[in-house]
Amino acid sequence: MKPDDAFLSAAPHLAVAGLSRRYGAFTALDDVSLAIRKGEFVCLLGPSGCGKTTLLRLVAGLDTPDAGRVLAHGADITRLPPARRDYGIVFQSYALFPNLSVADNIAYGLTPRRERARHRERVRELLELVGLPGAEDKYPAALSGGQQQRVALARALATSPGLLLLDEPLSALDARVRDKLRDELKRLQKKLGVTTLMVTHDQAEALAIADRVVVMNAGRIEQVGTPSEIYRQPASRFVAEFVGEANWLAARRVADDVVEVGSHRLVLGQALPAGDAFSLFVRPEDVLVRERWQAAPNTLLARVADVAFAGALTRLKLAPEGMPGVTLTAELCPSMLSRQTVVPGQIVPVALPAERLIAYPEGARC
Amino acid sequence: MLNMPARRTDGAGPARPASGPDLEALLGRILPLVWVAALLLAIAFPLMAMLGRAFLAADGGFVGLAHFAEVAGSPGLVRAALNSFAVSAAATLVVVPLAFGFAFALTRTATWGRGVFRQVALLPLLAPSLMPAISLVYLFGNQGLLKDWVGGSVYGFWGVLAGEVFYTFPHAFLILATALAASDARLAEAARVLGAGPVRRFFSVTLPAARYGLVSAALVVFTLVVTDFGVPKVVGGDFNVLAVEAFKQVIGQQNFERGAVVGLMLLVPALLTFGVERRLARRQAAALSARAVPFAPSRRRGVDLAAFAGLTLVSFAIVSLLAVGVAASLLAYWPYDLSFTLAHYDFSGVDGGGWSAYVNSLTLATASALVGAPLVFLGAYWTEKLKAAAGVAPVLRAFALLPMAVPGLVLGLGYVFFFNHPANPLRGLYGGMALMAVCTVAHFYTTAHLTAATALKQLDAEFEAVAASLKVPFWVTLYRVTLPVCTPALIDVARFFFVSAMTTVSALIFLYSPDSSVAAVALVTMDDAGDTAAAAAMATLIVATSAAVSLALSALEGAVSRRKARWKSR
Repeated sequence: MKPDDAFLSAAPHLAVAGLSRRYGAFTALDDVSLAIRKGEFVCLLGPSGCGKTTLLRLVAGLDTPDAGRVLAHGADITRLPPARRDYGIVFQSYALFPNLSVADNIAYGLTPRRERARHRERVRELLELVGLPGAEDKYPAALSGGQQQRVALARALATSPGLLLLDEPLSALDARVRDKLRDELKRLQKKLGVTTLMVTHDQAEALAIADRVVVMNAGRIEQVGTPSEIYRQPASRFVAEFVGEANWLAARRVADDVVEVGSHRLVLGQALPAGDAFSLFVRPEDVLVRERWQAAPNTLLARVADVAFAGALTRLKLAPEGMPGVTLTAELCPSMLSRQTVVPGQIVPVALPAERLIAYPEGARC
Repeated sequence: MLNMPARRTDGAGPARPASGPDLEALLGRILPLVWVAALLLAIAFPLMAMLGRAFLAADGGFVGLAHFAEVAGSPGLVRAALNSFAVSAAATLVVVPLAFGFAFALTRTATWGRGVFRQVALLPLLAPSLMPAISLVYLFGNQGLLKDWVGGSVYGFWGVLAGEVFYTFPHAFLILATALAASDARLAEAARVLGAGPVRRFFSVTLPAARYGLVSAALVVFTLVVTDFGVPKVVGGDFNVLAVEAFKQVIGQQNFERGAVVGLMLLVPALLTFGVERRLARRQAAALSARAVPFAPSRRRGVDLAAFAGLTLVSFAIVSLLAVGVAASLLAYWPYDLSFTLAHYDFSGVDGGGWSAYVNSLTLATASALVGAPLVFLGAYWTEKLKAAAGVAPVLRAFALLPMAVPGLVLGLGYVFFFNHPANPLRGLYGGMALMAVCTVAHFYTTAHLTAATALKQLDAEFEAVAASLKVPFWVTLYRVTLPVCTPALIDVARFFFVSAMTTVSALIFLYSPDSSVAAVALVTMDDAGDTAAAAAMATLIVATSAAVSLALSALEGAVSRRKARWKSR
């Protein structure tokens, strides 16, 4: 069955199907399937040991799967050695050759090697692209971490690969450099239009940089979606817990879209899943502090237990009345606080918007 | 601007069409197998030949344990075994505390001249084990200078013990210095803050941290002494030990079966201690976290003075044992005529091969260094870095570790049985320099392999992955990056092979022919014939050559490191 050209051009740039990898008794990757479109920036996000790096290494041909296939433009490349695939890669350690100058590092994969003048021009171009013009003759040890990362990126892009693989490229950098480089990486990727697959354990990084985020846990994909989908509608309790901050309330079923928390009844925006006991999820920024009490569904009174200043936001710890032992975290923006002062001990009305509440079946904890 | 989009549209499809067989993958699979085959031939087969010999009759029929029963029934061999055990245990009991004290003084006090003392402690490595024995004869022998100092004769238990202590001291010292240097200063500090005195700190922090080092030093010393041939050959006298017995059975009486049994008796303790030692080495490595703070001793005048005195005393003993040998080779007739002469360096009147043996030694050492170092380095590269070799790597790694468990004497015996077997097509090699070089490289393979592997492990694990993604074959990365970065380790391995080849006797004593005698073997012959002054001269030549080459290679290493500093410093 020979795929015709129409199928080939419609095929995703990169796809993995039913990919599994075991190391002894440990299953690093368990039947994972994923398709990446041309020009897309996709982040693999998850805690360490979730299989995201294993997936990247299988795509790179640095490891061989026990089952499943890797497809590039619809063609099976599962067993091809790395040198016969088409990608550039950047590792967390940068892996710059310490005895070669920046120029030699970047030109390492350029062929044929005798065309030095052409390579020099290409290196200059790339250094400009990554924001390090004039660094040709330096050695890697003379560069800062961020600069080394830029050189590693230039080296990976030197041969104009169709696919860019990034293995925790920013994790070894200081917070400030990391944020700057993150934005530059995104800009560069959009400019070149190179399909990019990045591994990270930093959810803020993934949400900020990716077109689509793949959240992984224990060798499986939990959810694939845009950053806002991942953040707003976590598909599983694991995703909800791993991405961003959240309040978790123990709840019982009352009706199809009503739960009981303590002595309060809360209405949800959608029907409850099967089961009687739930964990109710609400983001801190969705816990709304009202100026005055108005009897309305999902509104309750809470005592302010603590007020903590956190820069752009102020974080409140609230003890809702009628929910013994429960603490709600709420995040307030400065404009809200300017209308209303909040001090510890104060009783404030709090609203939990129905469409922001998501119930996950209890017992499905990861 | 960048020609990226253009390239990507024509690249619609797998990156590169598969063009012919993949040379890189092919080489990656075949080369490690070549190394496995070489190690099989150089180590495993000779050992198996020896095993076979121990269980077979001279005509090839299986006799089970008959040879063992025969050995157990011969009082001479049983006594040799007991003697071996006694002197090895005694040497261990002396050397380990002595080396521990020496290493402790060097690593835990701020005493003066620590760099010099360290070099002195390593001096015995430059000399064959016969050298201290010859010096002992000059000092305490029948015409010894200090003969009256010792109650009886130097020949026997006490002489062997003294020689072995000198010979094994640097080995124990190196292990213990590493173990002590690796301990965490934060623990000692915590103990002090909690009010522990120096004695309690020593027993609760220092000693536990070094306990693996202590056990492994003890095992190494014990094995070295059990299998050493040089010292008991010279000062053993009637005190017969297993190592000398194996030599006598095979070379003297051509009783190969008995030799094989004795070889096995030497191999078993070596294998056991090797197994225990490897396990301990792994635990020792795990005991030290990456965040440990190295201990920096501060000046305490009293302690430092005491340490200095102790270090001086031990160093004096080491230097004098070497110096006596050197002096004796330059004096007309020790101790009666102390006029200077170079006559002992004219080896024309003595057996053993003389200057041609020395030249042979140089050739052997150079060949071992030049062939062995690249061989070992590539072997380590296959096991540590080559992805295509991942399947073979564990086998190759196991074979690389095997030689450490095999005493030189046993390896030499194995070579006799394997390469001198009438049915072996390689028999022509027996008695030649080529086989001696092979045997030397095989004998010292493990230490060299571990040095190279350690250096390789320090490189970023992703170099090869990056190179592969850039479609650069592994040999280019090996040549352009791995080798240049690892040059100091490579020089280290070459130096180790050179010095080891200059000083070793144990395996070569079974392999040489009159034309291919080497300096260290000539020592045995000269000493046997009573030409002690000539033996001392030959020993001095060996030490001087080892020292000169070590210094030269250190200088080379320094030059390389300075060049490296160019890309290391900011």
